[in-house]
Amino acid sequence: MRIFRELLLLLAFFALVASGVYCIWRFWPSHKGNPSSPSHDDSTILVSAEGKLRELMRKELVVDAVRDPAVTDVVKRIQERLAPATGKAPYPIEVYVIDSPTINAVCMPGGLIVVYSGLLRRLEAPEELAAIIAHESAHAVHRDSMHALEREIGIAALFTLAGGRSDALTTRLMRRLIGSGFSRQQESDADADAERVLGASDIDPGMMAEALRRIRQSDDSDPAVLQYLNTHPDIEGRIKTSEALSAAWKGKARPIEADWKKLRAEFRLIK
Amino acid sequence: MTERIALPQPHELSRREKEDAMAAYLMNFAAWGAGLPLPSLNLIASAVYYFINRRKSRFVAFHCFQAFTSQLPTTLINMFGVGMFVDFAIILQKPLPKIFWPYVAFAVIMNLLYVAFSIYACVLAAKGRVHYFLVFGRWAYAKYYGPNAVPLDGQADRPNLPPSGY
Repeated sequence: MRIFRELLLLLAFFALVASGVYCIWRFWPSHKGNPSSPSHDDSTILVSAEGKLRELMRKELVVDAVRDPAVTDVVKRIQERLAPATGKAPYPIEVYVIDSPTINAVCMPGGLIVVYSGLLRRLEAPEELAAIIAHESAHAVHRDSMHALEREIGIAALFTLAGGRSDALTTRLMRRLIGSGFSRQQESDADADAERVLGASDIDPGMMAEALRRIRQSDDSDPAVLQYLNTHPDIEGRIKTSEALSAAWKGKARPIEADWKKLRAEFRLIK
Repeated sequence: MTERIALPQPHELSRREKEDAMAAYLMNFAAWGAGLPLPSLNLIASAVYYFINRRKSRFVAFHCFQAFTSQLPTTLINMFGVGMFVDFAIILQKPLPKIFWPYVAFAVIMNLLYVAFSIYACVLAAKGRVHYFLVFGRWAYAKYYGPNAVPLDGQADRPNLPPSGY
């Protein structure tokens, strides 16, 4: 029957156009390269897995997070200042402060950011904490933690893991993320984004250098400092870049109205 | 009916028939703009136009049927795209899937091709000629001119018939 032949021809034509469009899109040079670029990701399975991991990890973090208003108020004010300039993350960015001597801040899947009190104890101003949060927020926007997990355990394993409800596995996954860190390129991209966000939020981009310098000035033999240096490579290069950006910055810094002294006092009390 | 019905030639058609046939395609374009956010609108408009005009003449019915059915693929393509957008961006509030933008490009290409072919068919219809779309042209021909063509309800205008047997 000719009509069926025509139908096949029509379907073949549709398939040809569809595959042509997909191939052009898939192999167009702008879609290659930077794995931390937000346009690179967004596969449905990854977003779905990220959402499930977010919920699992959130449950654990909510239990452990510091709830003292002296701490949460500072974090909230910083987030409010940074929010308008921060890029769009697939899930809302949430910051949790965990009381631990660890000197680190980590971006978990689903826009969950963990800042350890060990890091807060070393910082001298809310603007320095803002720089750290801006940096981790950039990782959340770029979805670096999901890409890191995808690379390490594979997307199929990730999805299976996200489908389960094992708290033990979630904890192991969190530890793995905390310990693994990101590539130099991802760190450098996150810094570039963070410094842009800081500038746009009336915070001197050099605050990144200040925060990093304070961590660097700590005792190098301290295992907590070593962990930060291991997970955030090339600290000297990052300080230099931040200083250069600060020198070129033409904006006017506006202090974050937060009671930093009270926050420090609270952490002196917490063991 | 077992034989094919002869296709009318341009000089045998009235101006009104040519205009009605042409309007079947123009109806698509008119409803197409309105139907972009809700892609099923143009299909409904086209269906309404077909059901109103299908008894006017075979030539008009052929073009109305072809204009109506030929937009099924593009309408389905558009509906799927809109569905995907509504589902992810509005209902689930999640980022659009990776495939969405290439799909939009595919839908745009298909719609543009459909518009181009429709304009061509519209111009020919205005001249009293026929243009057969793939599949849908053959389907419309079989329905109105083929060996099993549907009867047009001309009998409705001639209700008085001789008794059976004469």
